[in-house]
Amino acid sequence: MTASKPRFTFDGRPVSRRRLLAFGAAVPAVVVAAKALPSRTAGTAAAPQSPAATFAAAAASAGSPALPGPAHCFC
Amino acid sequence: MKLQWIKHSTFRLEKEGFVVVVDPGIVSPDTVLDDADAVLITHEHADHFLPSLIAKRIATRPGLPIFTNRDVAGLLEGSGATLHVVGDGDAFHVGPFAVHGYGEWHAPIHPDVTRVRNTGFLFDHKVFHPGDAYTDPHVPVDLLFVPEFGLYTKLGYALDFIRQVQPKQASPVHDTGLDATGLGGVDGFLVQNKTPPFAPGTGAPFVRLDKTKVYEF
Repeated sequence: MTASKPRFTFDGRPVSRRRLLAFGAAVPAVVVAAKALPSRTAGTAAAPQSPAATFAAAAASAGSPALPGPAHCFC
Repeated sequence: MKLQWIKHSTFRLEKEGFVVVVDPGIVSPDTVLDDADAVLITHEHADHFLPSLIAKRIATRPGLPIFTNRDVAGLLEGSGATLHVVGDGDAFHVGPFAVHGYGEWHAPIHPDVTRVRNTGFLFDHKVFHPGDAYTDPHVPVDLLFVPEFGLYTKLGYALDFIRQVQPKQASPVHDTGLDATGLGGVDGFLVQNKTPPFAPGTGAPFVRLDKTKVYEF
């Protein structure tokens, strides 16, 4: 069985997180490597739709009145 | 006016040969707007506003007049309809109908659900369609439509709505999803006279309209 490596030190000595907090020391922040996000300006951005095209898309996507999909709410 | 309850919150009104349809939505028949001269929409939810039905009618009736609030009008931009933006406190004419707009917002569903703009319509000082809200128009009403079942409904509110408005007649709408047993239970709660053990009484006659009939108001 291998002893786990102490995660925190205080004055050079290994301490538990609880002890560290008891000393009032700041707990090191856990840093998560952020994934690189695609730039909003990268690539070929779609041109804004005209109101007519937006409405036509809505009319086409609504489907059959007889077959309401799960996205429809009775509200 | 002649009035027919199509389904859910959808109504067809006719006067002097002019046909108005209110709230054509996902449970409306595909032909609901086939002879509509104008459409009124209380709010943007799909059970009240289905763009495909609007587009179908505009294909045969370019420039179809649509009266609705500014949020729904925004969704209809580019549709080819002639849009009339109306709201709370507005008085306007739709063909031979005198119409008044009442209310600002859909009844709350949940604090985490965005409320949408909702405009109720009073036709010819007689028939009030509140949309999805319990708005008191503070005027005499002959026929009050009362929403019965939805994500926002609460029957205690519906009962108080009838008591508050004091119409000559209250009739249920917005009832999709209830089976016969459910409809019976809800209708039985909203009856005019106190009926122990549950129904406290609204004070107004409660009449479920027959969808196969045309009524005169």
